[in-house]
Amino acid sequence: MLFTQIEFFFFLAAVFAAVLLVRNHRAQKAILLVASYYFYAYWDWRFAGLLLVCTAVNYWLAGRMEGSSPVRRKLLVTVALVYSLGVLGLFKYFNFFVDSFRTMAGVAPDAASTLDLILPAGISFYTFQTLSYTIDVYRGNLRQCLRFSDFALFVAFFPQLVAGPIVRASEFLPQLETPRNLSWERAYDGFRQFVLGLFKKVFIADRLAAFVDPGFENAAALSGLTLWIVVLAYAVQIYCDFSGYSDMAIGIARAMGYDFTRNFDHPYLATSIQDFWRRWHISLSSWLRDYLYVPLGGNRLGRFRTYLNLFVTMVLGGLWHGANWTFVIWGAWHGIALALDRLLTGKDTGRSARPLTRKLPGFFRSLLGWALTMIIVLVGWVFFRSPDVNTALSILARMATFASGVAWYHPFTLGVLGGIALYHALLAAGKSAWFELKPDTVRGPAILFTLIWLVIAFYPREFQPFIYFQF
Amino acid sequence: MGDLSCSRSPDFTPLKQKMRILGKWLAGGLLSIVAIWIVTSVFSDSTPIEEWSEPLGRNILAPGSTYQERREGWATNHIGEHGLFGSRPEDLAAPSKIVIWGDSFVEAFHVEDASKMHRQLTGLRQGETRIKSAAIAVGERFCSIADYRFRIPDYEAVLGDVKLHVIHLYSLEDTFPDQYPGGRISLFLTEPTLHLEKYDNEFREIETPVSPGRARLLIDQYHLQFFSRLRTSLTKVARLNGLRFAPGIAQKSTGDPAAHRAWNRFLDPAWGSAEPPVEAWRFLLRELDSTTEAPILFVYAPPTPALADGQLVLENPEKNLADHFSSLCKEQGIGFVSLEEPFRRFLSETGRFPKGFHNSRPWEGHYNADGHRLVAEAIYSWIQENRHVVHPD
Repeated sequence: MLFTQIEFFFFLAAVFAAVLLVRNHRAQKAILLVASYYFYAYWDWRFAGLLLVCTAVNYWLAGRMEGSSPVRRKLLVTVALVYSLGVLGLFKYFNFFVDSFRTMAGVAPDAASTLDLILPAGISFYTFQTLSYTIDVYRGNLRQCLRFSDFALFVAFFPQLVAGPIVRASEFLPQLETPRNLSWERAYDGFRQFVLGLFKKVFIADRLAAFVDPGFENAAALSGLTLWIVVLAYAVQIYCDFSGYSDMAIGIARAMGYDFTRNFDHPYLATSIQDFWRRWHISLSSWLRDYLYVPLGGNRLGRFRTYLNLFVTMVLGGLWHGANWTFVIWGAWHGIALALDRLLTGKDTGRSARPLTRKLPGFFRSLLGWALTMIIVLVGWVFFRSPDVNTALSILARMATFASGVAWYHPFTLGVLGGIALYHALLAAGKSAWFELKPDTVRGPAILFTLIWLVIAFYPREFQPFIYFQF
Repeated sequence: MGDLSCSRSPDFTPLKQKMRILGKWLAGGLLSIVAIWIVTSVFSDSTPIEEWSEPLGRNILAPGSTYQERREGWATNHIGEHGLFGSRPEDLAAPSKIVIWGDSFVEAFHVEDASKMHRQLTGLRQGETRIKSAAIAVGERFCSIADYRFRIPDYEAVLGDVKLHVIHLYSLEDTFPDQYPGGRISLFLTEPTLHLEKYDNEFREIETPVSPGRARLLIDQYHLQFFSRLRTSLTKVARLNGLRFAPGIAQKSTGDPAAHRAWNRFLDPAWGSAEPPVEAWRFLLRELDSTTEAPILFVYAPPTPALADGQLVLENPEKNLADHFSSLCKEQGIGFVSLEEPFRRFLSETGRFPKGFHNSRPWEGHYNADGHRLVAEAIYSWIQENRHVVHPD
């Protein structure tokens, strides 16, 4: 079920009504658990079983850890990792590795067959969530969850189940221990965030898709300038699509009394690539930092290892997004950029290698940093969105040379790009108060209702799933 | 503000303050309604208004109404007498007419009235002082040749002296028998024998006469299309139309939007290599010829030039079919003009396509103003070369 489907609004109304009518905390949690499994089974009931097994295996293995010897704990966490990553690998990467093997070995297609598997929705997200729990219990950072139903609700809680944010067990499980406060303030906050997310997804991202999809499909014939617009539009599309989903998830959870941490913080205002990763998909980048980068040694093993660890973390982060070399290159590109950023800012040596920019006034230094970051991010998006590496390289070549070709100036896209640029400029100028939508003003409800009407009036004819569902 | 449920917290908000907030929400709601009215009246398609036409025996777009297109192209269309798009009273009053038949390509609600092919054709012929004929377009989305066969006599009766019937074909799919694209159309069938079947025959639902209510006229006059559509959508939702609540089984997505597939289906070499239905075409042309005293001209628009997966497609995949159809037209004494060369030349000279718009895709879809001009010029050239056929006197 998608947040943008009519059926979802019936479902949400029913869940809210049930949670409000049933005052008992345990009963409320039971309702949410059943609703979450229904939400998942609505898409494909067969995979609800997989979700349950994944939940049970991690719960059981983590439950055996407390009081066990270090060797046994290590064994249990290894089993959890092998199981969870094995299931993820089978569904998500099996065909990719077989295809890559075929290509590299020059093997005929029938010599190594692939499987015709449907990727279970949200598998990458719930695998990381369950692993965060098991690893935290293994490390002793978290006590094991005493109720299986609580743990199952943590994994399957419908607002974040299929596309995040990746909620940590240490953040969510304590919230299940006490009754939730359902107040009007929370309801309004949740409603506001949900509407903003819905608007970003349906009005902006889905309508930009009508330009971006054919743009990438026909990139070889489009002019270089058009391709710049296509790539900029994709940058806005993926941001509004994914952050829109996160906003809706956070809004629903908030209205129900649960708090998720912020997943995006205006990433296109970042003035360095490190800054970008502190603002983009925060729940994933912090997960990768805590469960991959730090265990690899982080920045504790010298400069070279720090850069290598950054690179490996980002490559694996890229692969997490999908089984394609384009994602691997996207991750590697960001890994290299992060390593270079550390090197040039002198974080590890104490000597900044930026003598020229140091002399610039603060504003121009920020502007230069922002422009450079945007170029790195946009080049990355070309790989991220392209169907294959050759297409990505060809698009970049056409952009770099402003190649001639079919010109396409999509009015809606140009309007959105202008609007987004103005919005970011105002935020950078410290005018964020202009965008606060308070409940006790005329402006707040006027803007929120207008956004709802716009979503209804311009609901796209063609179905557009959330981009991050495929991950 | 108050508390909703379980863990109650004391609510000290005074009633006066609550009322003030409620007032602000109501004012905000009203402002939002004004905002969406302004936005949708400028940026969204309007809803066409239909009414029953006694002389034509079917529902037509209400004369005097307007239709605003915003999704593909940008135009405000004025509906003339007999529900004709962009036809001015002086065109309808002209002593003789050239009637252009076609589907949505001729309906042409994507471009302003003055850019439509029939208006451009009339413009091209304005220099000819001796001949006082105007071009009229009778286009309706999804219509096919079978419909024109039945409608030609009806329109000849209401339009007066018709000097030439121009039938616009986008691809040759329409000329094939046993097509059933759906919608309110007549059929060309091979079973039990080759025949044309009128839409409102005894086997199919006869059109119910409609008349625009006061509400519909107000919607048109004040651009209230959003509220009308909202009501329709809410009614559908309230009836749970098309909704699914049972758990399902996921399907692999093709990732190819249906609208895009529809435009590109004629580029498939398998379609172009279809066997020409020679006998069926002979029958069709004979039927059309026997329908009217006026000469007939086919204006054929190929699916090319087009873009497919980033590649420019210039070779018309249905060239073989077009050549066959053209020779059969010649055999029957019916005119045939292909737009293949004019379209290709236009692309090479300007780098632009005759179809498509910047707000949809500038290489596929319906004709833009350039495309309409090219069609008008092709018809005009044919008339110039065949004056004896169009104006034997």
